[in-house]
Amino acid sequence: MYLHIDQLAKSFPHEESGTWEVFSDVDLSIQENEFVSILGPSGCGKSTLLSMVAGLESISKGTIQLENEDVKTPGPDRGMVFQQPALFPWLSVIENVKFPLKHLSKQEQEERATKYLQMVHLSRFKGAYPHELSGGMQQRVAIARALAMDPKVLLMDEPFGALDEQTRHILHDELMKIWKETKKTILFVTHSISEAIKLSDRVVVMGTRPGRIIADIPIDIPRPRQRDDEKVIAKEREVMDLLEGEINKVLKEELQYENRA
Amino acid sequence: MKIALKRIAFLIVVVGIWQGIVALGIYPEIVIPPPSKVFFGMVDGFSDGTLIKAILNSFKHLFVGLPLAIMIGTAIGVLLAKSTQADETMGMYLISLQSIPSIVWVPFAILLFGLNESAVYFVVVLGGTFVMALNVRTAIHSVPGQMIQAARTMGVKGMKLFFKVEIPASLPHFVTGLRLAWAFGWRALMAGELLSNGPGLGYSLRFAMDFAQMEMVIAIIIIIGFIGATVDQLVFSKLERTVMKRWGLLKN
Ligand SMILES: Nc1ncnc2c1ncn2[C@@H]1O[C@H](COP(=O)(O)OP(=O)(O)O)[C@@H](O)[C@H]1O
Ligand SMILES: [Mg+2]
Repeated sequence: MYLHIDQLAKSFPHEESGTWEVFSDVDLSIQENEFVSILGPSGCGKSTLLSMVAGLESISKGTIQLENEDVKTPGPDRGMVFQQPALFPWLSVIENVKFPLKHLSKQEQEERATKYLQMVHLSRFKGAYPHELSGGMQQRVAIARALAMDPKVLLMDEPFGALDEQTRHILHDELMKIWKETKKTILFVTHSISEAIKLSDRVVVMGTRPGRIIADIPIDIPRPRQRDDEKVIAKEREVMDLLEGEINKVLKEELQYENRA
Repeated sequence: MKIALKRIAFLIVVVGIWQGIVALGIYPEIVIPPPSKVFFGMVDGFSDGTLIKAILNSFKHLFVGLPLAIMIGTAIGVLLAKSTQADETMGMYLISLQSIPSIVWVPFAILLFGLNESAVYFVVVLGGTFVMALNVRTAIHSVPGQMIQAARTMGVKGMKLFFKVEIPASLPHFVTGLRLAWAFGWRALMAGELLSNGPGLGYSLRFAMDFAQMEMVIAIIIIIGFIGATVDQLVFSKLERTVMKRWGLLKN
């Protein structure tokens, strides 16, 4: 297996109970060039899981392996795109993309940055500063910056969550194209069922309290996928039913908490 | 252009009212001198060099005191932002120190250093340090978490993370700190000089008071206000706006 997550658990220190377990017993295997979405209600630990793969969060229990190497710290083999573009506002677009390439020669930096800016159709804006770009364009720069490191795995944490519907659809198509072109392995976090089904080879559904994987659904619908395709609608229904129980559980717990307080 | 006209018109009205009050003759000229007397007092002060010397000396105090305040303030701010221990131990005291008006330090400084320029420097440094420290602390705390995480995924950590990401990311707040350090330092300087034995603008003000030269008192107040506003506008506000704009925190 390419990316292998085995018996992974995460807990944070907690004032009342000592520790607070976000999730446990997470097993997940992802093949090279696979596009896998992680879908689940807010707070189930999707971002935490992705950060652990990125090496930003420590592992409480279990292992993460990328090509049989243990993942413990961040590394250039894993690029990450966040919900906020998190660009460096004092650097121009192309300087932002070159930021992770400082170990390369000037010429190589230039070539790589240019290549990936072309891929996200922003060559024209390479001298612009982030604040001069729209949210969607900023996110494309962030994608180019992550790709410029030429990582084995691209981690994306609700990358289009802050964008408007129309921009989101455009970026979905672009991401599909980039994925085909670069043959990256992509781990994509979202809380949108339709987004997960539109993009992925597999949708991994997470539940909450306790956090865990509740389903792993292959999406074998040919691409490009249309939203009104019957098969897409059927899949959405299937996932919705799975998630409904989870969301209701969260709501019920919150209600109980309110009543207690 | 229109704004400039409005401002000039306002100034003319104020001077007119002032002249009117003088013309009523209720107050003796020694209490409220006419605008012309203040103007010629200023001209005399500049032509005989006393005001120029005072201004140059005040700037000398600033050129030594302010950089010191900025360096010490930055060091304290970085320490408090980076060490929770330090922040929990000293952070509260910094806020109370900042809330002390600089003039309060003058008697302390004079007893500590004697009635000389060291006391003035001391007051200026204190005046700028605390506000600088507070702003540097805020500056570093306000760096977005995702920006740091993004940098970490690109293999940047430790000192490199601090210098390549945290420092530039916090520059807008840092520049605000500079502007406030200047503003507080300038106020502290005047307080310090007022009670010192010169030379400096504050000292000249005190000297004019002792000799009941109201026209010089008013002239120096005007100069102090003019310098304060000019340096703020031409140096610090300009710098702040430039940085804010580049950082995307200010549209247009
Ligand atoms: N640094 C942290 N310290 C304590 N608890 C945390 C921390 N980070 C995340 N959590 C908790 O972990 C849970 C999962 O968070 P997160 O991974 O952000 O969920 P999701 O991305 O699925 O919405 C939440 O209950 C959150 O409060
Ligand atoms: Mg999240």
